[in-house]
Amino acid sequence: MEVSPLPASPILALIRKDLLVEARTREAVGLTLVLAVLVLIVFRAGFEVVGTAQPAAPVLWIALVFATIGGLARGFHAEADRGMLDALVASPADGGQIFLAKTASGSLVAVALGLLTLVLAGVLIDAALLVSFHVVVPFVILGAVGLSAVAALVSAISARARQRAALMPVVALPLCLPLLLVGVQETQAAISIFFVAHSPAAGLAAITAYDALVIALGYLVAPRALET
Amino acid sequence: MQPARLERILRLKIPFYIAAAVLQIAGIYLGLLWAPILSTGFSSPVAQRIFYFHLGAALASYVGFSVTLVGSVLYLRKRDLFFDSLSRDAAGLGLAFALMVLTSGPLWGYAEWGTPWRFDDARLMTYLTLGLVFVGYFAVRRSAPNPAERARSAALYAIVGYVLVPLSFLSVLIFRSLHPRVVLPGGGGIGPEGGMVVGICVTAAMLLFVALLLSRTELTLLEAKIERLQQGVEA
Repeated sequence: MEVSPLPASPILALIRKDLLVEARTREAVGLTLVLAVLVLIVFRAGFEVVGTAQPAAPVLWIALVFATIGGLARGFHAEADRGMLDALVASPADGGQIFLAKTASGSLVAVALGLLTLVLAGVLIDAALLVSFHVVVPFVILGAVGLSAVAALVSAISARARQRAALMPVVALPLCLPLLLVGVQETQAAISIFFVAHSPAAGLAAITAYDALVIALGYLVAPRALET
Repeated sequence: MQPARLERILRLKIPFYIAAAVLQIAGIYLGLLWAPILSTGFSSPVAQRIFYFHLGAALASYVGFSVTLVGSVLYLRKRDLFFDSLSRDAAGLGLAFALMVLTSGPLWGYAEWGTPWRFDDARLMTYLTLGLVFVGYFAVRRSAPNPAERARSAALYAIVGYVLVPLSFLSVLIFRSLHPRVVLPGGGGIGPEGGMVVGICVTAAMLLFVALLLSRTELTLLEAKIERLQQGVEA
């Protein structure tokens, strides 16, 4: 499998294209934000009805995972719906560069929305998330990047599938589980009163390693996934 | 692969079935009745005997997913649908053995830890995630619009999902886990008798896997032959 070098300009051009489309349509941002808020509200309501404490860390990360996979799944699927997938593949950028651009543009959106979701979760679920904001933020950022990479990779593989919207969560959610587990564990540790004794270094290393692995796999696999 | 050579390989399934049956019966007798009870390190030493079958099923599932990976890579290189069928069959068998692991493990876990499952345990969750990924593999296959696209999408997804196999295998060494470690120098305390039973049961599981894969491959080839004949008749 040929792996071409990484000239910056095709990737930057594609990122710019995606961000411009998003700025005009607000398709991913709107959907992702609404989905995140709905998940937070549903969990808040569900736990409050039975009178149990609301676990802030899992609720935050569940909202992030569902919002990112649901909102950013449109990545390559949107291109396919508009009949632009073949044009994208025929562009000067190769499949790996297209994947990196899609991941980067998705990450920018996901990180922004992730931070917003963190604030909303602090308001709706548990204010401890706001108190530990500076500790949780690196995990939210790295998690958002990883989730975007998973979304881009799975949407590339399923771009030409039937019922790709229904297929996306079935295929993407298992790949998001490692990020969810580490994110929840580290966020819970951050908002715990025993945080002083916990070092986030191992968690940061684990999330970073998984992000790098998914991005590397996507770079290698995407050219074959997008070819006609 | 030449048809005659493939035929000779497929005929090996009967000896493999027989060998698997003999070893499995021996493993059941030795594991349940002969192997010494391990009271050190296990709070439920009797339930520990599940391990002899649990490990074989786990290793067979890893082999199944590994064959899926190899078949997927070969398909992408050669574009021969035989490798896609091989990948599909191996993934199905891998999932079947994974189901055995996910059944026997919680039974043992309930006796040993007082709970059948721990969602905060990295070892357990990485294995469950691996199983879910390969369930997704079949979802990808069902959603493809044509055989070539199905083979390609499935192959790519299998390559991506396979990263969880080494992660699952090594997680017991990397992360703190309730799951016992036995693949260590010294064998984790199961002793030479236990080691022998493990060897018999693992070999039985591997032989069964190969026999089932050969049967599935033969079935696939027969289905293809029937389809060709039907197309010939209709033409």
